[in-house]
Amino acid sequence: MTLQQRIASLLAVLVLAAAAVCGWLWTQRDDTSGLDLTSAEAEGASVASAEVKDTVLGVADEAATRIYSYSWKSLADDKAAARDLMTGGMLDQYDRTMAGVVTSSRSNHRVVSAEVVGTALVHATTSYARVLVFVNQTTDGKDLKSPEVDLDRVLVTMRRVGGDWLVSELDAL
Amino acid sequence: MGGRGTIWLIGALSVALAGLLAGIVFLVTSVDSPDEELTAAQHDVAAAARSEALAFLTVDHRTMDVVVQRVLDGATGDFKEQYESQSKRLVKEATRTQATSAGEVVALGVSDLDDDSATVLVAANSTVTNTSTEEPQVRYYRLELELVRDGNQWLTSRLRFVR
Repeated sequence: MTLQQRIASLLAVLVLAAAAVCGWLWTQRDDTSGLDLTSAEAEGASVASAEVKDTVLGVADEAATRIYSYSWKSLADDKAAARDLMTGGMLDQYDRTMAGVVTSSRSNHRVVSAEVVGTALVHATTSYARVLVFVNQTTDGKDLKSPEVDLDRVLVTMRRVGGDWLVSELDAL
Repeated sequence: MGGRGTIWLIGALSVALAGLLAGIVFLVTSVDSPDEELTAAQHDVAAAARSEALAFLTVDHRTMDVVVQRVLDGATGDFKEQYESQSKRLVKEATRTQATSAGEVVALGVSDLDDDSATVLVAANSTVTNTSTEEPQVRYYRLELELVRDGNQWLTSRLRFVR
């Protein structure tokens, strides 16, 4: 073997080794979003850090309050404010839901206000999190004798996009 | 293989190696390692809260001794006292109406958690039958459990329905 051939063989071995390491790391990467975790005691549920936990609980609280509140008088602004907190498929889902309530909320002078009465962490990595939120949603309008209150249970899924936590899924349970 | 071919091969392998090394660096820095201690603590308290919530929502008029004992086994303090003081009435009522209730935890999360106390929220459903229901009825609950550490186990000291 010439020296060049030896170098080529050595490089080939290194390439194979590096490919193996890469493959192994790929299997170890954060892919918990596929686990569909709903409970903090489920296998795979973890806590990245106390700081991440505090952050995502706060974001879920604010997001649920804003997304579940709107008034017929300020519908466009309320929708824009809510959309600012969302990412990906959540935007389409929200637009579809709101399209269904626009007409009736105008004609019935609907005012819907949400109050978050509890937040709890299900799972959080540094880029993906799920929070259980209890929301009291009060609906008032011309067609209602007295305001109606719904006691909701919502699973809020968030992703960190460019440093900001945004809502990627909302599941009313 | 000619000298020129080998040099091309060395070039190609070098490029591939550089690419793979860059990939390794990227993957190593993006691997998410959870806080193991916090994760373990969250698992422990969540498991205890889940089992207590299920015990609390379970009723079977045929085995009320077991039903009540399961709740008391995971309880302490005020919650234990309250449940104990109401258990006679619960047993009587369940037996009279031939009640059953099967609980299911829909979602569960941990709010506050420190070394010896924790607050857990549970979204749960129960399927209820008794002499006044023709079909089984599903009920929806929002529970808040406060737990305290007792040795190496977590016990529920307060349980309330979140309004």
